[in-house]
Amino acid sequence: MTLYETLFVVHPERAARVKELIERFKKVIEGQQGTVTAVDEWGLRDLACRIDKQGKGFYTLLRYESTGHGVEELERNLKLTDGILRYLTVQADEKTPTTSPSVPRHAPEERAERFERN
Amino acid sequence: MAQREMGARPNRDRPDDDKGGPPRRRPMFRRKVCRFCADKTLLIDYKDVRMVSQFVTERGKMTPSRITGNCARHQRLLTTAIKRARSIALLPFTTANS
Repeated sequence: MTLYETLFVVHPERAARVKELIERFKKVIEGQQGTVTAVDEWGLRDLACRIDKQGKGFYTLLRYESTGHGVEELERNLKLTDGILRYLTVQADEKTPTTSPSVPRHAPEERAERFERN
Repeated sequence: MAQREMGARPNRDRPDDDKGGPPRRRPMFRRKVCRFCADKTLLIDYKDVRMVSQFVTERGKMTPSRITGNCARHQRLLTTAIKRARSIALLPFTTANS
């Protein structure tokens, strides 16, 4: 059993269904004898680049202990689910926080404003 | 002319440099210290966008370690962190179009 974390981005129009999706993925992990240790909803954030014509996405992080087969099964489910823009699974480090950097990305806009003033 | 050249040459030769005084061609510079080695509590994590984006130019390129002063190990960890953040759209690949 290894500690993994999966971060996935949900289509903004399906953000209302995120809770449902989380429950589903939890069941997938538990179905593979894994245990979910943390669920963290980061919320709607700006994407750094457009994905499927969307500028925003709903980020959610799952941290869980599982075998490699559990990860395979979860990723298969992520691929099958509609409205998942992106996902990323990595081996997690217990020391790193699950929370998102709470500040949303406004840096590019600020930069643009400054540019205009000059 | 020839004599003047002879006089200038010893300075250019390496062995002479070693003998007397500081070597000529060494500009003043401060040794950069790897930030992550200096502060062991700092973690390199792709989720921490604010931290990782400090090591990316305005265009979204990674800054070389020769500029940031990171050691090889931490530069390597940063590289994977930046690439992970890019793939999940936390960091831009480029800002050319936006």
